[in-house]
Amino acid sequence: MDSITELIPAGLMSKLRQMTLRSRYVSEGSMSGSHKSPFKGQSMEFADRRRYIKGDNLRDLDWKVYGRTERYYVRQFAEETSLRVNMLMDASASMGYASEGNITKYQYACRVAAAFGYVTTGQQDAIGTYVFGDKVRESIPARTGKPHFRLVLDRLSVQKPSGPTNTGACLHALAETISRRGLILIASDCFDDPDAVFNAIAHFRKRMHDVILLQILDPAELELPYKRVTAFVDMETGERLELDPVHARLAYKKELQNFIGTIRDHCAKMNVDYRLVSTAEPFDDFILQYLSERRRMSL
Amino acid sequence: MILLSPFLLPAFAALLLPVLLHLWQKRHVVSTPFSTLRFLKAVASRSRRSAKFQDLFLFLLRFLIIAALVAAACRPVLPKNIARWFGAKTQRTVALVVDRSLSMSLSTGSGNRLDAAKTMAETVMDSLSPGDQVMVLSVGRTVDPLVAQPTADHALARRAIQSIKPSQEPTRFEDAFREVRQALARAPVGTKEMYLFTDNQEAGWVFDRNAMFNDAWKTTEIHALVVCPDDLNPANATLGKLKSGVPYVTAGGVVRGSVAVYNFGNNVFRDVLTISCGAKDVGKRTVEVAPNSSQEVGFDFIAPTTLDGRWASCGVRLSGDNLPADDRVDFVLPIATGSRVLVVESGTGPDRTRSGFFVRKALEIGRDCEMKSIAPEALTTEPLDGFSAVFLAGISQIDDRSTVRLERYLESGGTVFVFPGDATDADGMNRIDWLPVRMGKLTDLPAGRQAVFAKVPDHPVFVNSWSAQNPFPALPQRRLVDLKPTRDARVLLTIADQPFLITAAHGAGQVFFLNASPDRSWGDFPLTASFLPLMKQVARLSGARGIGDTSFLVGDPVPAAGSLTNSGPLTLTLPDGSKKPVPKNAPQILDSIPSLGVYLLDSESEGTVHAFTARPDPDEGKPSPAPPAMLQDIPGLERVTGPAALQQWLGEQRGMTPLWPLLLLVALLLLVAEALFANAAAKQRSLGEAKHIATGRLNRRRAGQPFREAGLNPTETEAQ
Repeated sequence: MDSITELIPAGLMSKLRQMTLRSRYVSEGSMSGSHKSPFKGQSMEFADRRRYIKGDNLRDLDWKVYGRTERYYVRQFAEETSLRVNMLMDASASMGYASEGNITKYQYACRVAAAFGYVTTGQQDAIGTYVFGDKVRESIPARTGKPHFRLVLDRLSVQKPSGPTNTGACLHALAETISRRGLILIASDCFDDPDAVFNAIAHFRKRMHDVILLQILDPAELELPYKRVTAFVDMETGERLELDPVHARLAYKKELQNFIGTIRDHCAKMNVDYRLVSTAEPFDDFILQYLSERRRMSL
Repeated sequence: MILLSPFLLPAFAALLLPVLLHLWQKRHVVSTPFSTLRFLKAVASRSRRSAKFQDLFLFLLRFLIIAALVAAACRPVLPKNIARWFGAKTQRTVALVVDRSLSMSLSTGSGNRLDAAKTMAETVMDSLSPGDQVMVLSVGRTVDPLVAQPTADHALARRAIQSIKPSQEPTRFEDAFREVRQALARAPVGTKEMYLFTDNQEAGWVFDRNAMFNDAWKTTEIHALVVCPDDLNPANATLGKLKSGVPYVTAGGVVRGSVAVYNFGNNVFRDVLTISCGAKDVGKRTVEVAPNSSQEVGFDFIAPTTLDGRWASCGVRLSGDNLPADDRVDFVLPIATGSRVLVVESGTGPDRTRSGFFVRKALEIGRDCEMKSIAPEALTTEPLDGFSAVFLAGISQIDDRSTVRLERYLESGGTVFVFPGDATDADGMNRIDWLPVRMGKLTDLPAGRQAVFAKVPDHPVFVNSWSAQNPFPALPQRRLVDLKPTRDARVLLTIADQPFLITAAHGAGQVFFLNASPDRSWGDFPLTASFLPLMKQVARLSGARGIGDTSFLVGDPVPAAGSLTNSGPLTLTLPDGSKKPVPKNAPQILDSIPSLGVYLLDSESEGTVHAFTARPDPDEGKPSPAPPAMLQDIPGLERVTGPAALQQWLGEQRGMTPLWPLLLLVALLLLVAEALFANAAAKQRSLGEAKHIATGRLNRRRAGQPFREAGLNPTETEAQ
């Protein structure tokens, strides 16, 4: 994963150039851009009127309102700013799981991050990356430019999934770190205490971030396709559990479905864009479809 | 509980199969890393419980299915005392009839059939309870009542069964059924059973079955069971009745004959037929008989130049097969020695003028015939016992006394040859009972030779002189008498549509009547070339003639032919060398021939006066049983084959409740339950496979592609 071409196929790259990534909410960028800002500023788009106060530029006076009401109002215009996309990558040991014939969840997450980064960089917005497990291991604040994008990819490729997970705490910490409103992409299998995860996501939402939660699971985790009595070894704790998956499959799926359903419900309540994706799904199809949906949502 | 097939008990080891499978499954646990156990832990206890229950239940069902099947295969039955609780009749009267006929000696590889029959009879004895009554018979040509009346002494019955020895008799069941019916009709109330241990040959059932199995049989309520030791069909060849082509044997003479060879096997039978005479093998002949057919095999040999006594003992034999006893047939031939002939002729003039001149001249040739000539009047006093033949040459009449004497002479085995003549009183002759013809008037024939036709070309009187290829020549006869043969007479030759040579048996003797005068008054027959051999052959035949039949089936009675037993004390030498006195004036020499071989009847004064042989019944060699259709119309008769079937039948007849149908039903129900449960479990499991967790998009597996264990092969899925 040293090169962008390894993460994003050439064919997909040309398609991604035509894509845009927008936040559903206003963002606080450091530079002018094409995204809505919470502030009023210089743009062509009329935003509001307010009473004239001393010191306002007289050029902004709305003379038509004065003619009707004999009161002084000034016209305000919406400020357009750049978007900050922060990608929070779960690199706990469970993200390193891959069933036969599939890539690991972390690799899949990296590909998604690369695609997001490519699109974001292409639209002159800033990207930042945070890698966490039981603690935040890597922090790359959001910046623009292709060199920064390459740096992000390099750092992501250096990281290997390992250690236990503490998603809730890490996200809380990151929510405190990322102060400016922007787009938050969380790529994780969410195999942690759901309440802690939801609290952390609520933290982000409280700070008015547009949050995308991408729950990446392996098909074997979704289907439990094993047919013989198997001793399952937990990749994070090393715990061992002997089980007949044939008999446990249906109950396992119900349990997993409930877990996913809980996440989905909470995300819906908090207006978080939640997606469940299997690593068996073709990456390019997923990313193109997702970005298309995002574009429709932001129109 | 009794197991009818206890030898299947080791099959219970099959119960270990599900256990071993269960253990084998347990041992093969693969270890694999997994992202998180949180969901697996949540379901582990539930699924483990459910799986344990399913496994245990299925294991139990399968265990029970195998156990039920194996138990059913062992064929358990409820014991008799349980049947008693339901008021079953428990008193049994059993008739055990063991076939001891020749065919029961057939070897089937693991012993002969009689031994197997005795073992099975012991099995029936084992099934009896104290107080049950049993009778034991053995049957061959006749019935041997070993335990004639039902008795509760089982030890006696067992000894009787063990005492049964194989015989060489044919199979006849009629008398056995009659005796059993009579005995069981007097038996006390209870079940009456008859077990006939036999190879069930068709010949045994050839009797009036409708008369035997009539209402009397039905009212006796006999459960009859034909028990066959096996249903094998081993190859066997048998020699049938032997036909001798010569009436007597002479030292160094040619003996011809034929014997029927029956092949009861399913393959072509090839063997060598060995012919023996006396103690020597005198010839061999290869034999090839098609499957399930017979062939008449001819043979000839030159008799040894040294023949002693009056009888030559000969035999033909095969090399032997599964039933060696029927591979040999003995036969005896009288040895032609000098004959002693009495010529009764009319006329008192010179030798040439007497009526028996040509007869005497013909018999004198060869010096093998001692001859005496008397006048008809002397016939009343002349002792006839010393003559082998009496020629009545054109005498006018026979007085009553001579008639009676000649009749006795005939009955004792003598030969009388009658020539009519011009002086013969036809009316007087017609009053004689033993003459084979009734005489009519004289008829003149056209001039020239008259063709003579042989009606019985193979009659011993023609042997060595004439045959179908060398017919009797035409004769220059001018006159003959109209003859009407009697009922028992046989016309041997005809001339001008009239009988010419007629013969008839009378007692043990033989009467010939020639429709020609002994002189030239009726024609020139005495001058022809055929007159002399005919006279000599009659003389030789009379000298070498046996008394009565010489071949019997084993088990047949042997009558005392003629006045054989009147003459004096006789001793019968049996084939095993033992001797048995024959009482004077006994109607039969033997009531029943005990075994195969040659029997010699010796007189103190004359040496061996008679010989006969016992041959096997060819039907005994047939190893296959009677067709089932033959026994269908017999009420209460069943048939089983083999010890196992007998055990089963006994189990059923002893009022025992067979449990194996119930066990089979249980196994079937368990099988259904197992199938339903396994199906439900599989359905539940398949539900787990079919129900997919919805992701952002339809993944390929949900689109219908097959699922591979532990994930998808990207190469394959891309290709698809």
